[in-house]
Amino acid sequence: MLIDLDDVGRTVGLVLGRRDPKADDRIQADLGGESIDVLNIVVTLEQKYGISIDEAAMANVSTVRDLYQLLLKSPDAAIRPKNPD
Amino acid sequence: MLPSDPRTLIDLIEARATRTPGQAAFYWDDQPVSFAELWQGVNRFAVLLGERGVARGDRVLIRLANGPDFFLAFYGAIRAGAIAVPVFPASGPERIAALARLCGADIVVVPGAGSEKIPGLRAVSVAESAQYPTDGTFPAVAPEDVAFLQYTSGSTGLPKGVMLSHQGLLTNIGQLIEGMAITAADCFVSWLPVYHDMGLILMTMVPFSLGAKLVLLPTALANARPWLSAIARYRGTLTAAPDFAYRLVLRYVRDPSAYDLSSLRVALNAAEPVRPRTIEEFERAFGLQNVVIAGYGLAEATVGVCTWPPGEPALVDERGVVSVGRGFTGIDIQIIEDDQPVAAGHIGEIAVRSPANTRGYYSDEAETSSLFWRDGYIRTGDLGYLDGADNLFVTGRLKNIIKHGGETIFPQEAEQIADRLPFVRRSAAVGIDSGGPEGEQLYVFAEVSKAAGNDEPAFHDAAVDVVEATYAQLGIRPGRVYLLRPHGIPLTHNGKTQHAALRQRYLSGELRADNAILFPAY
Repeated sequence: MLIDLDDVGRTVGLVLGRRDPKADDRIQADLGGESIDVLNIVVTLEQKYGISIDEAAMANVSTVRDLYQLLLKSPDAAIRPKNPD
Repeated sequence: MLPSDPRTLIDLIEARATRTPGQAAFYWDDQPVSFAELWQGVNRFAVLLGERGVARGDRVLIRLANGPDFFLAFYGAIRAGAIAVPVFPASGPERIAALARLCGADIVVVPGAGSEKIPGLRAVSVAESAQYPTDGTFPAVAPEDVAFLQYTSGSTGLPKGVMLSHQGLLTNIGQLIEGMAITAADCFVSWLPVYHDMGLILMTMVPFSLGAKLVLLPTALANARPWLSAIARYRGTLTAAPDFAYRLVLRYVRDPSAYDLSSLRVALNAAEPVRPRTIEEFERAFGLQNVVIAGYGLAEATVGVCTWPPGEPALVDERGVVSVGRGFTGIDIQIIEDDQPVAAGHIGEIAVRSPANTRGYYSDEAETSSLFWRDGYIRTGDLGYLDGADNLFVTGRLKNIIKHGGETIFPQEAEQIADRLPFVRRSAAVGIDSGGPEGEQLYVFAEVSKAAGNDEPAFHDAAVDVVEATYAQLGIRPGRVYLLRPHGIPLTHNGKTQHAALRQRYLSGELRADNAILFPAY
């Protein structure tokens, strides 16, 4: 499955109940995500893309863009950036 | 304890401010706030409320997050003779207005001048009281007066305001202190919300009562690290959280050895089902032994009913249920079935009699009368059994309720929110634990009409609206929202939602296989 930044943003928005998160919105500070929501974002992305996310690396994720870049580092070979950033 | 036992929360704060004025009531953002500052601020705010016409018995909504202002507003309202009504601070205006109507409040304490206006409510902030005098004439506060209302989810779709009296609160504070062997030498570290009972009563009133150190953190923890590092830095001895928070730590903290938690005496695990694996893994990760203890309580018994004794190894039955221990002093627990008590070992509804039991829900006689079993026993709606030594094991629930991140939600409440959206035909809320670290979550299944649109982007927006509305009303976000085709929700012959069947169809994959799910595709 191809992933792109917009699509990651939309998934974050779906979990948090936000229509249009921006790439540089901070998931917690700007979008109001709480710890449990962050966990749900991880679980949702894992299901959506059929990948596994390094949860410990999530600690360094602040913005939607950070999250997207973390996904790109996933060892699952199927992932390619549609719009390299 | 204080030399002469306080009879009200106001006595308690005043006694601390008189006897140990310079002592820190709590640390916020690493800065101490002394009992003298707390007491002065409480009085200033009470004077302001009096000037605004707040009188004895009036309800004052408090829409504040963790922080010093919460305490000034909460105790200030009580000092002014009012009943404090803490509300989830991120609640939308519609929710706040609905709670105000339920309890007949016309004033809300908000963070500051820029706060969102709520129709029908006057707003006031603690900052406005900064220049007020600390002396005024305040109504007498009696031990049997209601100090605050704790709103909890209700089966009719409307929340219920549990009335908590000074007497009941002070009784439960005493029970918690004795049951968990808490002393003035303890150091509390808490990020639990102060607008909710466990965070407010156990984690702030108990340390205030003893003069124990309290390190208060914001609720919106970016991750688990601030919690762990505060315990390590302050040498915290007592903390509390629902099971999911301990699981989050295990999942996210890569190097537990970076945090020295050896000072911890008690880490209470309560407010949602306790997993034995969480206790084992947390203690192993941080090199602790018999520190994480399971507890049980409910707002209707003020907050705490029992905990496992600190320092003793956890007791786990053959079902994998962790015992939450024996009732605190003065508490009797009965297991009932068909209105009759049953013998040890038999599972039934847990009923609790305690001197700290509420007298009922605020202006809600119907809900109040169905709360009690007999002789002052409260029906908890939880299922469990007592072993031969009176240790309680909580095994499930009688009522169809959802536990999500330490909050209890009746499906009806979540369903009413979704049903109000124009594109929802019918919705069903179910608690689902998919086995992951997030634990049981609220899942909302919504059958949608043509108004929801007919393509993925439209469905996405509709699902976002369900999450947004739920968060604004309940303060939690559903773990998942599924949009279903009409008739996707199983019903009984007389048209009632079959929650258990829906859960089963979802978990078995039948819902997906039958093509009932419109969104999302994964």
